[in-house]
Amino acid sequence: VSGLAAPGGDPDGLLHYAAKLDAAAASAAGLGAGTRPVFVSIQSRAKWTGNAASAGLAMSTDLGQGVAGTAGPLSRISAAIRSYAASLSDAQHKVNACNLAAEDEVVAGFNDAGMAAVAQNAAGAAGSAVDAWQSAAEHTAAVIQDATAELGKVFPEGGPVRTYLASLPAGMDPFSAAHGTNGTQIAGMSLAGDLGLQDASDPPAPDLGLQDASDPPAPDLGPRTVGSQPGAIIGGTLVNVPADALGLLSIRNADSGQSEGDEGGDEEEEGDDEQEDNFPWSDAYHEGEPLWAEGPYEHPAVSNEEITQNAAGNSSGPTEYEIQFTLDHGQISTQESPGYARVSEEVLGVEVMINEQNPQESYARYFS
Amino acid sequence: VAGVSGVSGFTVKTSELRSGTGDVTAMRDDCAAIATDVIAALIGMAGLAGHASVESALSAAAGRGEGTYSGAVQVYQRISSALPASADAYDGAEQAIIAKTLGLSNP
Repeated sequence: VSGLAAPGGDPDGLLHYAAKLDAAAASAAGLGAGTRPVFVSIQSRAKWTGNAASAGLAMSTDLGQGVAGTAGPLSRISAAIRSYAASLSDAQHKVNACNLAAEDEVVAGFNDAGMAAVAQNAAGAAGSAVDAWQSAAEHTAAVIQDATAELGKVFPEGGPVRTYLASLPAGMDPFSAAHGTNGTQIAGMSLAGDLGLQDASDPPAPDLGLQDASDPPAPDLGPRTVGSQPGAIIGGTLVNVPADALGLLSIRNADSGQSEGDEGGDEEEEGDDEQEDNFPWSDAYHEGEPLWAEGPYEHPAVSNEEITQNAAGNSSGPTEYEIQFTLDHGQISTQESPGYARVSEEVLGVEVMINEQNPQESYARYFS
Repeated sequence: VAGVSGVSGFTVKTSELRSGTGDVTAMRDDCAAIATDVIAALIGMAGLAGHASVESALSAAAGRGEGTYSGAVQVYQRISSALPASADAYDGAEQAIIAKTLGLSNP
């Protein structure tokens, strides 16, 4: 009986993260359930009625339902991972038992029939467990894929949330095809993120009643992601960051005027209609200074593993997966540190610093 | 508006609209914190899965989750910023009406 390779992976670690995911799912359910009531409370306290208030309530309702809707898929993922972890643990234990039995058989000199039977039985059990683990893995992956698809549908098409997000500048809508979400592999492998460009000629979707068509552009609420750019920083490839696609971030209030006051209608005079057109959700639009470098620039080849190793000495540094996620979804800047391209991901609080001259000196760290 | 003939004023309590932004901002921050937990858990699981199919699926889930929650955070932010802007709009409009009523401006 020859030795078998035990499946990799960490069942206990998986259970640890599954518990965290469950907790996050519960928090999402609570936040979603509370969103509309909070807005209703604000409306009530302020005695705020009219079309703008109704539009805000509709958006809050859609938002709350969507956030609450993430809980289900997340819970299904955690449940699938728990089951998978059990299968993985079983396979690992049985392969280890098999290998121990094989060692005992060797020690016994292959002449001990009882020992041989034990080893053979252990090998059979290990093989079955590995097969079951493989099946569990495929099933788990399918469950996660279904849950992932559901995560992308929590805000209905045509609803206030999706309509508002679609009205944002190209690449800002996290549900658009231009938003990279498919970068799923780690260093050294093909990193096929969804890095396609959104056609800049596409007209933005309407803002579902929150904003008149004559309003200034919707606020640019954050810098664009790497995935929204016409290139990737992954795997030593070209990163294109066209100057005309830079995110302009600062927000100011625009002039706005009167609208539906409960008792003010009789007193409205000429000119108020124009003010009403801009009231009140069209308050902000973007202007200011670009935060990103003008591109394109060449990103030198360096692997995530090398980047991780450069975090040596910092045992709590980002993992390869966190680095990859940051590269897939982060924001890029070449202006903050001379000689380095910085890719940062706010959610994880990870930054990857790419040394353009000496790529082997690139590194990653947590910044928050 | 008391003391101004012909102007009854708005009933909207703009101070409440302004204070409401704090409530929405708190929800935005909660959403961002949830997003961090979700993404960290999914990425963490991907790194420990030990099977390529599961790793890939979890990484994709993390990417989708990031998109969904970042969108939600943006909308919370949008609502949060719209509330004080609405208050400003009401106040500004009321002042404009007062000015017109008193003949202080010539629109």
